[in-house]
Amino acid sequence: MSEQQVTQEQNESQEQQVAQEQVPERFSLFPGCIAKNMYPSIEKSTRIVFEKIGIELLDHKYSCCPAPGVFRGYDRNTHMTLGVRNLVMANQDGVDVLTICNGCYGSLWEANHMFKKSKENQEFVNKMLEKIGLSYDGSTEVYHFADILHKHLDDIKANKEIDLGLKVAIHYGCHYLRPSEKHPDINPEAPHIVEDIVEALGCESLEFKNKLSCCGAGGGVWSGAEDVALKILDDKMNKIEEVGADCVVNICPFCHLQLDQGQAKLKTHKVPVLHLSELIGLAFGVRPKHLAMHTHMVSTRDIEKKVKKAKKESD
Amino acid sequence: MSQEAAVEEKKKDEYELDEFQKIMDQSNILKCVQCGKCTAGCPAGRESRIRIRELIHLAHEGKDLKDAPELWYCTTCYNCQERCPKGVDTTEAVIFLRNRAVRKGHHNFPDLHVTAITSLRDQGDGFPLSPEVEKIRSVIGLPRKPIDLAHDEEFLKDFQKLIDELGILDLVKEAQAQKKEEEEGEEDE
Amino acid sequence: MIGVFICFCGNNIGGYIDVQQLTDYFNEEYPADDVVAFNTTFLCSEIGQDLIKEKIEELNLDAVVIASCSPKHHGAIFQACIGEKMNQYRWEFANIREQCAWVTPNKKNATEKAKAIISGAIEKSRLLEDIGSTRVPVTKDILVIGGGITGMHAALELSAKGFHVHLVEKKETVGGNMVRFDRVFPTDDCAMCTSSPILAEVAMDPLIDIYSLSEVTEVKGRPGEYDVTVVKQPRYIDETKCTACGDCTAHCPVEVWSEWDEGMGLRAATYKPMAQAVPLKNRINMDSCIRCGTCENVCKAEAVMYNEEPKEFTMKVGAILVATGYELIDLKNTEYHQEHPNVISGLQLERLKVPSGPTAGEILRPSDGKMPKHLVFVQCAGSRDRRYNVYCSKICCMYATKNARLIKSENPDMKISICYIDMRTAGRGYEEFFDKAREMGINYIRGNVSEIVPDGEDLILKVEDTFTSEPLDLKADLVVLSSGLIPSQGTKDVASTIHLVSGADGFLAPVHVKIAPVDTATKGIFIGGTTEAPKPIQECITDAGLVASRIASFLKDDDIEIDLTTSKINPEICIKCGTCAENCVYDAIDTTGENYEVLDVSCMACGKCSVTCPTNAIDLSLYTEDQVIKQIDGILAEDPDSIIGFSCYQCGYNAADLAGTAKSFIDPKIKVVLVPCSGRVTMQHMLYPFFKGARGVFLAACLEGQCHYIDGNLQAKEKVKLAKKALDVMGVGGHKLNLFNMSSAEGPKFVAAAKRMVEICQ
Repeated sequence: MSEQQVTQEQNESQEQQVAQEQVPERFSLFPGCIAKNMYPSIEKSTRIVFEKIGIELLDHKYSCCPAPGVFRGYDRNTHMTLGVRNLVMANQDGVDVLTICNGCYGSLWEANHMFKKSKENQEFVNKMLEKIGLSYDGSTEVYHFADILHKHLDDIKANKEIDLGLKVAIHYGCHYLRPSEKHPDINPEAPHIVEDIVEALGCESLEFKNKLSCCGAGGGVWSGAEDVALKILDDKMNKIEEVGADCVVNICPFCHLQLDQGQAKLKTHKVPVLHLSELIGLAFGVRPKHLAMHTHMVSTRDIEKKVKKAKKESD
Repeated sequence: MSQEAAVEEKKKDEYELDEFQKIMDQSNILKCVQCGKCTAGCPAGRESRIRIRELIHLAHEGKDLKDAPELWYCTTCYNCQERCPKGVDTTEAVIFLRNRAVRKGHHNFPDLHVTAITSLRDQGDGFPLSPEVEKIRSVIGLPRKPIDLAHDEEFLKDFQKLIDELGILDLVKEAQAQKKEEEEGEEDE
Repeated sequence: MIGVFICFCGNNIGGYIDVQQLTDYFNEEYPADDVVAFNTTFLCSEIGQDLIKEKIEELNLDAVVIASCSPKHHGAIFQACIGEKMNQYRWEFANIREQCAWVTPNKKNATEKAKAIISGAIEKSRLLEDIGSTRVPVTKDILVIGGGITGMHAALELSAKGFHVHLVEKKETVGGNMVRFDRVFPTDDCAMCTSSPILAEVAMDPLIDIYSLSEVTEVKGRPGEYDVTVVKQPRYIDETKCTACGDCTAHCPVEVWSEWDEGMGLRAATYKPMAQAVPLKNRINMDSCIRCGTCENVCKAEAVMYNEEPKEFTMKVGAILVATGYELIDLKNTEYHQEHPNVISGLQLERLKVPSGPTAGEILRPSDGKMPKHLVFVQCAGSRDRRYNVYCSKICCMYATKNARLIKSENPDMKISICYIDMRTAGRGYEEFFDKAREMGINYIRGNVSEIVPDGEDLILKVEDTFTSEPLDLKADLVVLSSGLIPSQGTKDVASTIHLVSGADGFLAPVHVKIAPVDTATKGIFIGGTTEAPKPIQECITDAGLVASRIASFLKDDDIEIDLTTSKINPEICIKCGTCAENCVYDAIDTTGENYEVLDVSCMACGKCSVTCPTNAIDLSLYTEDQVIKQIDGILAEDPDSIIGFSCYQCGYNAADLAGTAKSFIDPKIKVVLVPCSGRVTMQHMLYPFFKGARGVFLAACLEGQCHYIDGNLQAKEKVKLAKKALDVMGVGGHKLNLFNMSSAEGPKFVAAAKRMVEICQ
C-alpha cells in the first residue's frame, strides 16, 4: 500500500464531505429498466423536475444496472463487471452518474466500491472490459437523486406552484439506507432527507410502524418467491393504511413496482403510489396527463383531484 | 462439527476450501455470537422459513447449503447486516452462499430468475420495453425508444460478448439442465 | 565488560526462541569480545537475581543487559537487584518476550530477531552512565475529583489515615449515581439507607473539604506537589446562610423536568436534589430561573444572591484521585427509539422506583401515568455492539434482574420479560439471585432486540426467541433499556485537563489492568471506580479502599525520592537561545542564572527539549542522542533489513506489549526502540536508520490530545513531515517513514501499523 493510500484512508471522512460539497451540476441520468420501460411517468417527471431546478441530465448507452436481486445472487463478478461497464459510459464523458432507483444506486455504488477497494477486482473487471475495448479507472461517482434534490431544497421551493397538502407515507427502500456506508452522514434509523423534501412541497409526512422496512421485492424475491414478497408488502400496506395516508411516496421504481402492482395483486389495498419525482412534478404544476400517471395500476385519480383542489387554493 | 473440523474437511477439496474461506473472510461470520438480532428484524423471516441466524451458524459449521430453498427468500434489505452488533456481514454472506449454491448446481432457484438472466443477455435489460409502453413514451414526449444500450445494436453486441465471457448464462443453464436430468432420473425410478 | 542475561521464562521464551543458541552466539560469535552471556530458567527468581549479582561482582561488569520480558513487567525488580551491586541505571533491557517470542511464530526467525534486539541493548549499554537521585518534599493534602461512592469512600479512608482531603464535585451534592438508585443487588438493600451514613460521615469529617458545583480546570506541578485550579459555579444561594428550609422551592413558580430524576419528575428553579444532600443547601438553577424575585422575598435567611459569580481558587495537593464515574449511553434516534416517552433507561426506572421519587415508588409509565401490564427489559442496549460500545457493561444483567424481581414481587400480575443475549451473573450470590428471578416467573427471552417499534403509546419489540427460532412481536407498554455505561462527561473533561491516557473504550487506563488497576501512568495520579471501567458498587468500594492505600503509601514520608533521569545541559556548547525553555511545558529550564540549568524536580524527562536544541547542548539521560543511535547501530548490525519502530513509553510501547500478550503476528523485521515520548525522536533518529540500510522507520505515539507530555506527539508529527520531505529529496522516499497514533490499550492498532509498514517497505 502506498503512503498516499494510507493518508487517503485517514482522511476518508473528510474527503467524503468535500466530495459531497462539490457535487457537479451536470449528470448522466441512469433511468433504470423499470422507469424507462414500465413507468415512463417516473422518467418523464424526473427530467422535468431536474430541468426546472437547473440541473442538466445527459443520456448514455446503459444496460440494466444489473438488478442486484437476481444477478448479484447468481454471480457477484458478473454483477460488478456489468455495473462497471455502465459507469464507463459516463466516465468517457467525464460526468458522474445520477440514479433515480435504489436498485440501480445500490448496484452501481457497490460495483464502484468493490472496484475501488480491491486490486484483484480491478484486474478482473478491466480484463473483462478489455475484450470489448473498454477500461475503467474508478473516477466516476454515483449519486442518488434524493440526495441531489435535498441539496436543492431552495430551488424546489422556488419552483413549487402548488402546496400539495397531502398526507404522505414515505417509503425509503432498503438500498438507499443500507448498508449505511453509502451515506455516512445519514442515520439509517432516523433519516429525514425525503421528509424534508415532501414537507417543502406542503405535504405532511406520516409516522407509521416499520416505516424503514422492506417492500418485500428485493433480493430476487419478487420474481422468485412472490408469495413471500406479497406477504411482506401486505404487512407494510396495513401499517400505511392504519395512519390514513393519501399516498405512498418512494424513491425507487422497483419498490414502486412492488407497491403498485403488488397492491393490485393483493386486491386488499389501494393506496396510490408516487415516485418522489412524480410528486415534485405535481407540485411544480405539471398536469398528471402529461406524466402518463394512468400507467399506475393503483389509480392515482384521488390524488389528482386533491392536487387540483390544492391548485385552486394556491391560485 | 467444530469450525476447525469443518476447515479440515474442506481442505480435501481446494475449490471448496477457497469458497468456504471466502465466506468466512469476507463476511466476518467468525464473529457471530448467535444473538438473533438478525432474525428478529428480518421481514422475510416473519413470512417464510428463512432464519438468518441459523444460516450463519450452518455456514460457520461448513454445512453445504446449496439446496436450502430459504436461501432465496432473503430480500437483501440489509436490516440484519446494518444492525449486527458484531459486524457480521450477514447479507453479504447470504449472497456468497447463493453464488456458491449456483456454482454447485443448486436446484432450487426460481425459473423466473433464468428468464430475467436470459432477458438481460438478449435485450440488455432485465425488464425489456413493451410496445404499449413504447407508445406511451412517445405520447408524453419521451423518445419512443429510450437512448440506451438495448436500442443500439453495436453496444448490445458488445454487451452480449461481455456477458458470454462472464459465463453467467451457461452456469445457470447448466444447473437447470442438471435439475431436469435429476428430476427425470427420479421419475424413472 | 558487559553481561548479558537471557531468560527462558520457563517455556514463555524458551518455547519460541532457542535460548541456548542465543547465549552461545553472544559468547562465541558476537563481534565484540567484551560480552559474556548467561541464561537461566527464571531470571526474575531469586536464583536468577543471585546470578546477576554474582556475575556483576565476579566479572566487575560495566553494564548489564537483561533479555527477558517487557521492562514494564519486571523492570523494577531487575533495577533493584542491579542497584545492590552497582548504579541502578547501568543496565539495559532487551524485550524478547512480548515483542519477540510471542509475536514471531517461527523459532528460527524469533531467535534471529532476539539477536538483533539484544545487540541493540548491548551497544546502547556501552554509553550508560551513573544516574543519581534526590529527595523532594511532598504536600500531604489529597484531591479527590468526583463525589460518587468511590470518591466518598476513598476520602473517608484517607481521612481515617490522617490525610486532609479536598473533595471536588460537579453537581450540587455529593453522592453520585448510587444515591439515586432504589435498591442494590445482590442484597436488595435500599441504596439510600446504605449510602446515607457515608454521606453524613463525609459531611461531618473535619479532614474532608467538600466543593460542590465545582470543577478542576487546571493541574500543574509534579508528583507530590500539584497546583490545582478549581472553578466553583455560583449556587446563587449563600451556603453560609441557607437553612434548606424549602420555602423558596415551595413558592417558586417554575416547573421543569428534573435532571436528578432523569426527566421522570419536575423540579422548581430553586431546589435541593434530595433530603440527604451534602451540602444540605438549596440551589438556584439559572437555566430555568425566570428572575421573578419570589424566592428572595420568601427567604427568611436572606440567602438568595442573584448576582453571584463563579469563583476560581487554587490548592496544592500531593496526589490526585480521579473518580468521575460513568453515565448511560443515549439511544435516541436509534433502533431502540429512546425518544419515545415509554422507552426509558435503567436509571430512569430507578427514579420511578425510589419511594421518595416523583411517582413515590409506583411504576407508572411516563406517557399517561398508567401502570404497565407488560414491562420489557432490553439487555445489551448499546453494549457489546460495534456501533455503540464494543464492551460488556458488566452490571446490566444484574440491575435488570434486580428491578424485575422487585417489581414482580410488588406487582405479581404484571408480566415482566427480559430479552438478553447472555445472562452474565458472575459474582458472589449473583447466580442464586438470577435463579430466584426465574422461579418468580420473570420471562427470560434469549434474543437480541432488533428494533423497538413505537405503536402509539405502546411498543412492539422485534426479537427472535433463539431457542425456538421463532421471530416474535412482543407488545409492551413500558420498555426499560439496560443502557450501556460510558465514561461520564466529567471523566472525559478531567482526562483532557490532566492528560490522562484513556483506552479505546474511553475509560481511563490504569498502568496495568491486572496488577496495578488504580495507578495511572503518572505518579501521584490515581483512578478508581467506574472511571476505570463499568463495575458494580462493591467493586467501586474495593477500588476506593485500594486507591486510598496506594495514595497513603505514596505520601507516607515528608519527601519522595526522584531519580535524576532528567535532561542535562552542556554549558560549553549552549548558546542560550531559549528554545528549550520555550518548548518545555513544565517550565523546567531555569534561564535566569549565568548558565541555563534544568530544574531536576520539575523536569518530567520527556526529552522534547533535546529535539529542539539547535546545538545539541541539552540531552536527556537514559535516552541520549548517541545512546539511541548506538542502539540502532546494534540492531542493524545484526539485521540490516529491519524496520525501526520508535515507540513511546506510555502508549506505543504498551500497545506493542499488548500485541505480544495477545500472541498477534508481527513481522520479525519490526524492531521496537523505546523512547519516553515520540517528541524525543530527533530528525537524526528518523533518518539515520536509512543510511544504515533499514527498510523503514515509524513512530508509535499516543493518540492526539492524549500525549502524556501534552504535545510531544504533535511535535513528532511536525518532525515526521520534515523528515519525509528530506527522505523524498534523498530519493529514499518519504512514505517509508510514518507516524501512528494509538492508545496504550490498542494492541491491534500496533499490529496494524506494523503490518502496514511491512507492506509499504516491501
